[in-house]
Amino acid sequence: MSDSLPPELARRIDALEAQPAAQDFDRVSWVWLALLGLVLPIALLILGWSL
Amino acid sequence: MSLADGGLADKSAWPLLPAERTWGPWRLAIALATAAAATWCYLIGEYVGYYLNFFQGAAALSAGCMIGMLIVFLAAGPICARYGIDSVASTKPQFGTSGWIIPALMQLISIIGWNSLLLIFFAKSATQLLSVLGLLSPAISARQIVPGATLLACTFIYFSLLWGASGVATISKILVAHVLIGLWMLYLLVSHRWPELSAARPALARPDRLWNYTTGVELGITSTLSWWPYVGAMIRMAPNARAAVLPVMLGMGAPVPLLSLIGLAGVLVLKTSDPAQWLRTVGGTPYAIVALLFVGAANFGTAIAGIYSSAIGLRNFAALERTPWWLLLLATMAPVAVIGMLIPELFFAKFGTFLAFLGVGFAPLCGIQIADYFVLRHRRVSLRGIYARDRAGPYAYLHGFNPAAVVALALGCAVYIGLLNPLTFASSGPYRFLTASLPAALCAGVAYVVGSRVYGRHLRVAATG
Repeated sequence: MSDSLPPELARRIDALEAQPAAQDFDRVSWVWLALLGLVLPIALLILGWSL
Repeated sequence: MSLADGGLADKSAWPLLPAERTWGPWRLAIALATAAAATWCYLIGEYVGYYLNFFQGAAALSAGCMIGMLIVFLAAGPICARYGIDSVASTKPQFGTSGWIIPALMQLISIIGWNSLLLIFFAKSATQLLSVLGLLSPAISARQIVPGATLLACTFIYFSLLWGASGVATISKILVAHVLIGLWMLYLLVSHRWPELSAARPALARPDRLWNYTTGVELGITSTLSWWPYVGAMIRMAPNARAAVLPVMLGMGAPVPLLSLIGLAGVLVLKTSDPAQWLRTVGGTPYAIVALLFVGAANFGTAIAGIYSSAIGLRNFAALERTPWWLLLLATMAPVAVIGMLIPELFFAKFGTFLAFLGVGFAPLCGIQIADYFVLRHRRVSLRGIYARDRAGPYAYLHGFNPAAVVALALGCAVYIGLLNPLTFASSGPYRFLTASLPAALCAGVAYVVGSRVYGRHLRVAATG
């Protein structure tokens, strides 16, 4: 498949795929995402509705 | 184009190597904050202010922006940060090796629209500034100045971006100060006009209190959903997704609702969201000059990030892969310059419709990406498949298009329009309880998962005869 790719692009893909697969988000990241993207908005919505 | 020296890496759509992803959390947060904080915030705040008072508007808009930011980040963030690719490239696993052209066109239209708006706003502010400073002859009307000022702004942005991502980072470091100026402006309005602000009633509020509130949330969600192209182009410069969580959620998600309060407060108290106009009312000519300089700085930072994101997205087209960077930038900026010079007033007047149409497309797109990465693929994506050009690749699907993604996108758009008409803002069904973006994203995601399983079974049956 890499035959059709430019050599520099193939080199980059090889280098990136050779890396050990790391988790994209760890537990701390998920906590922050949940806090800022779910808990905070819900709290704001409840607060705003009551005003 | 050779990337061997690494110096050109940030001007291509090819994946960035870890050594090239040099943006730490602060640098990323500053670049994202500069990109997000622009005069569109006033317009977003203005539209919310038509339906909600200051307190409810602030709560609904902030909640909507943070929800939208979470959706965008979960959609494009993991793949972009893991492999150092842009948002458009991250859609190839879902849409196919040819089907990615659909999100690419959505991105192009969105960025052209946003940047045209920003530069027209800048040109209008520059015209006002010249007038305030007494440098504009009464014989010359604003309509004559705006096209020229737009062209001048395009030229400045063009030369700034010749440095690629480093140009974006350098300009961001300088222009991020405008976020603080914006907060000062908000303080001025709130402190000077608090009694009026707290008592102000929205002009177009409907009798249904829940509908007004939901519309405030919806405007926040759709505004941040259209940040989808920016998120990918910026976080590909970060070392990994973990390092991008707080910069994205706080650097990009928080400044928008904060600065939108300027427009919200302005339209409620003084019936105009343009800070240059109401700061003159509050503090006279010196304040108006500060506001106009602020508008210029804010819009330049965002337009630079937008044009950069758009140019990187265009690099995914094989025909443009080796096009010189200066020529690609020129092609990216040309539509913005044409709109700004030929139809600035018409385009400016249609902002609300443009905003609603963004939600129609980007909500289902995000739903599909989230479902694909977290549900279908269990976070495993083939980078080689993303760049494969033959018909045997894992994302070749049917002539390069994944029918499941195309159908799911169409279904998501239909759900959105069925719930909220972007032209008339007429709503139906459970819109007042659910918004339109969230059901559209959910329906598209579910349809994509079901469609992919059905399509996969069909392929297996066809392969075994």
